Amino acid sequence: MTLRLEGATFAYARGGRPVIEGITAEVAAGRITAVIGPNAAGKSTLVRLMAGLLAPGAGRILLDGVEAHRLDPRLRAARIAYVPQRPRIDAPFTTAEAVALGRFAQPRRPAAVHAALAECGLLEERGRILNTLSAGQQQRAALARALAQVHERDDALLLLDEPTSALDPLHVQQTAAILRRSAQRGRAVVVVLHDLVLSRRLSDVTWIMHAGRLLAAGPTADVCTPERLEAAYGVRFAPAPQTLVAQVD
Amino acid sequence: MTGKRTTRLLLLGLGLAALVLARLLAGYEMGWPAEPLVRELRLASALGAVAVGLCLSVSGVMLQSLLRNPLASPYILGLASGAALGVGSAQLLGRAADPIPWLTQPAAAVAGSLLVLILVYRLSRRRGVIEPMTMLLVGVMLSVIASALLMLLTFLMGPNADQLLRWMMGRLAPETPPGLLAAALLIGAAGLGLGLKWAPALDAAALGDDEAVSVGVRLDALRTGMFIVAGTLTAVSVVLAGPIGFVGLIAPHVARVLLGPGHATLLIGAALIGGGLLLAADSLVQIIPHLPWIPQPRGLLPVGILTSAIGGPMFIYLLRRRESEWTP
Repeated sequence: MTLRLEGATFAYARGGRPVIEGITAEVAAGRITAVIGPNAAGKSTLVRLMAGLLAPGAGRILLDGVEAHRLDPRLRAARIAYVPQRPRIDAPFTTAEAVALGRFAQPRRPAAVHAALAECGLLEERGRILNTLSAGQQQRAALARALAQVHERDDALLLLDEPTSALDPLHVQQTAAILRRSAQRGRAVVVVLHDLVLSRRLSDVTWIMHAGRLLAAGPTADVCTPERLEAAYGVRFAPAPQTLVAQVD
Repeated sequence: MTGKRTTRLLLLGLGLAALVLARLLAGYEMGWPAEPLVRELRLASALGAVAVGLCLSVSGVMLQSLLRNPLASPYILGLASGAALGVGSAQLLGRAADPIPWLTQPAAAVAGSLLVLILVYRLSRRRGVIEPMTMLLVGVMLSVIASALLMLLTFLMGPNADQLLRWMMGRLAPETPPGLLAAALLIGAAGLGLGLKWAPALDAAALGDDEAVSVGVRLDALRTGMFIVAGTLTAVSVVLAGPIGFVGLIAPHVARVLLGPGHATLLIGAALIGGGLLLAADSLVQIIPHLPWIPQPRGLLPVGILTSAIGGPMFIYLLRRRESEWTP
């Protein structure tokens, strides 16, 4: 699986200010790519473009040589699973039913749903109405839905927009382990994160975004320098052996 | 489908069959119909109520699911008024010479209903997002505009408008032509069938636009298909009975409580409940003039008045519940 971005540019309004501008990069299979950057940098829009949910106004986003947004949704669903920033469901489905919706375009496979629920620690919650669960549990259910969707595919792309924002430290660790296992299976994982400590520990590759542009992209250890982070976030960072700690003046 | 849901669906089906049978066997006079003609009229009237209830309920489920708004219904969103305006316009324009009257009014109803639906959808959408409250307000306003235009038509029609005015109150006519009734039942069944075919996609659509598309739903095609079906079903109900309020709102809610959110059971359940509700309401309006404490019966109460009297408070209840959900 290769996903290539070639000068991808996007604006929500025709003729409006681009929120994504000229991004060229490649997502690697078997790697975890962290997308970091300040608020309104365009991270979520970039992930939606990569998921084929938006069409770039200029440039291309190619999944194995085919433009992602032109792929038939059913075919694309077998290859790309997407978890939005704030997953929600507008109907009182149980957790198991909601996770099973990930199999909409795939052959029905209860074992895939069961495995995804188990991996995300939601087996006990499978009969409860999803909307009544905590925000963190709903976030894990969204991840389980994505895992069920690409259950049998080692060549899939997982796109996750802040999947740990509502999680406690234990579940952050569990989610990180799930993503690591997915990458070890050969899947490409792209994850938007605000937690720079987690990003540093979890990712193999980091993309730093600022104002719709890719400020830097490459191996995490090389890219996440205090200077680049300061350029992106506008605050000073002190170097640390394992982590980067923000210093606010 | 779980056993409990299947049992409930069967009970709903049996309930509707019992209502139809009761209507056939016992009119307000509670006796066996001696004349075959009476039986035929009662059957036509019962089937007409079932067809209208089915069409409105299936349309209501589709609108609520696709617009992800539990307050959406053919009546609230102005579809019924749009269809009624179409029929009224066809009546006014076709008075002189209408070569194909059996087609003109239904076609005008479908056009009016779809036009309002498209307007509601387009006017409620901002930057690709539909805001539920905006959509309701747009629907209500378009309904008001369509109703005002309909009143203008009745004014222009002068003394000939009497029939149109009665029809606008929502009335199940016992003299519905058998061909029209059969067509309505067929279209209703076809709409339900399409809904069932699309049920898995409607389930997935509850995830929200992005997630639904990402799991493989062809959302634009689904929306277009559902809008056409919902608009057509509403138009069929309006041609048959005029604008009948709130059945398309209440039946999906009752079905959701009884059968859960899965659309395969929800659509069938709503169709049975909607058919049963309207049949029960129509039976009630037939009984009312013969009640001993009604001093001077003035003919049959239009069934639309009854459904609106029951459905209006229900809508306010749902709106308040929804508002409390929106309030942080």
